Amino acid sequence: MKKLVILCVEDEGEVREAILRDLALFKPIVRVETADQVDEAKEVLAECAADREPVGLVLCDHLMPGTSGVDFLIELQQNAAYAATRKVLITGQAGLEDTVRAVNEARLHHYIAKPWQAADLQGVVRDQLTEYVLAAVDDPTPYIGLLDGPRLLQHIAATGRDR
Amino acid sequence: MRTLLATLNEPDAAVEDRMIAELDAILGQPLRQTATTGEMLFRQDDSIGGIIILLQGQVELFKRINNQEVIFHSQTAGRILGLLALTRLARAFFNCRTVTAVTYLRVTTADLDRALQQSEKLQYAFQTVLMRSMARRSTRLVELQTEVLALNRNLAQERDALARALQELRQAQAMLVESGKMAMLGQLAAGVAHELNNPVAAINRSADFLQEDLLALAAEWPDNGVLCEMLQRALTRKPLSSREQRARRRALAETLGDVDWAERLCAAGIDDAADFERLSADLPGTPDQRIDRLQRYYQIGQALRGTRNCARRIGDLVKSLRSYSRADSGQTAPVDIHEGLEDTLLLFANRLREVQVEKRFGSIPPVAGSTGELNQIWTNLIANALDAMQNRGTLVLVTEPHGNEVVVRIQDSGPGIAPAHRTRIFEVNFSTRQGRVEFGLGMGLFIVRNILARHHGRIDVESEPGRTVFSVCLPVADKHSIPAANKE
Repeated sequence: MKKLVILCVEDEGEVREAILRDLALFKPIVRVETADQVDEAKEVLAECAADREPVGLVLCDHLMPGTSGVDFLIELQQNAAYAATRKVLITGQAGLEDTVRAVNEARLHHYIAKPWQAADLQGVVRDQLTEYVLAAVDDPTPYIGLLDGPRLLQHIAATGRDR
Repeated sequence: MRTLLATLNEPDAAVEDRMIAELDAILGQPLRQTATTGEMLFRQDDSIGGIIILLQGQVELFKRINNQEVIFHSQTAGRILGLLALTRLARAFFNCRTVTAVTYLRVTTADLDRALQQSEKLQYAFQTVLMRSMARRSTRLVELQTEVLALNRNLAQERDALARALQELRQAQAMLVESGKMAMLGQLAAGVAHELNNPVAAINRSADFLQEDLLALAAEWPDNGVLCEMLQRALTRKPLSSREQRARRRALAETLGDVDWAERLCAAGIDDAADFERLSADLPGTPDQRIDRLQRYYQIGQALRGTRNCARRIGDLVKSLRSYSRADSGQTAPVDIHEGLEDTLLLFANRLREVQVEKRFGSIPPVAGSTGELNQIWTNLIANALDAMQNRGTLVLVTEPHGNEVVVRIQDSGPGIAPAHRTRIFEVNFSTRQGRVEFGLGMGLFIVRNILARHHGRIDVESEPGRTVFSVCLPVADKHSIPAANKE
């Protein structure tokens, strides 16, 4: 099993640490990569591509030095390699206009407002990674325990019948 | 035999007397009629059927226009009334009312006609009286017209003065509204800052206490100082950027040949395999349990560091908010300009992420003024600079003493102000932000100028593409009343 990569783009160190800690429970199936701005996030994506690691989820702040989170997500949406990658904005500062752009142009999958609650963040990550696994992973079995088990099992049963 | 021209040279009274004498002679002394003051001799649109010759007393001729009496002739009515009706062979043009007791004759058109045919003398006299009456009335019309023109001119002047007054009132009102808004925002900010102050102070102190107690307990913890070392590590090590963290993890993964294990060591703040061996030598359990334990130690320190850092940031923000919005409505006191600039910058922190801020603060004495009002100046100028640069570029703040004044320059690297706009930027409601509601609606520099006027200060602007400088000059606070206190 390859671990799924969650890319977390956030410019504040303390916030990165907090997100990492909240996502620690997914450790057996997930590797969390962090970047403090979009340029670095692109380097991480390139490394993951070189190692053929599946990027399941991009968790992105909006207001950062350099490229904004929404612009990054839009760019990602236009790249076929990341069509299945789930895109989530986690921010306290995206205005209506940016958010609308993220939904319409980046096909944003979820919006998490700061400050967040650990359980909410974990729930969103579980659901989004489940969607990714259903869409892009051949064998969902290793992920049943930590993601949405019933849905994955249903999927396995359905595709099993087809075979 | 008299001619018309000869008659025209005679005085009024002589001509009129002769006209009446002729009429009397031909018509056999027609009856004299009398009327008291305020009687109507005829009304507009009456059919008069002749003329009225006024022998004594005065009348006035008026019309009703829009329900109002407008008097056209009183002195200029003349001796012969019903003239216009006679010349037009129509109904009365005016209303005729006596203003004194009067004596008059009524002569029908037929009688007049007959008399005129019989006497050439009467013809000349009547024509003369008629012409003089008409001449007087038309002179009167010219006077009236002149009066109307003068009145119109006065009206136009008054209208312009009113329009100016209205515009000034609107400006004053807009400014009141704007400064009212600012004052209200200031009060709100001060209120919020005040409410936040106690909890944030408590968080700050609590974090300190936690650290103190934790380190004291850790020092006595029977694990050869491992807990203590891990806490100190997390608290004191310079936090790595995400790029540095990744590089370290990669290097570790290469030497260890195990990506997962490298990740776990990094998360626990452990440098390498030897470091892990040393730290975990006396810990119970499997390597998995030991690294978990070390990571927990490290995370406690990280959480404490995060709490302290963030609480300090909130504390700084609250402090700036409080001094920024200090409710000193117009009170004059020595003001430290550097403090005001720093507070203002901190409040703009989220717009300064991509702006390089250069502070070239000189040694300047305090100025006399109101902190709140001066902060409004910095706020407006910095907001404009950031708008011009679209929050990206270089912002230079310079302060320097200059004779008996302090100069504050705020320079941005934006595209500059078009020469055509340069003279208009201080006008009320002038804005190049088309319909975008951000910091204000074109009141900014107008308010700045007004505040500076109250502080006996000035503002100048120089602008070229890539470099726009607003220079504010403020007089130094009175040296006798204020102790010199410079702050770098």
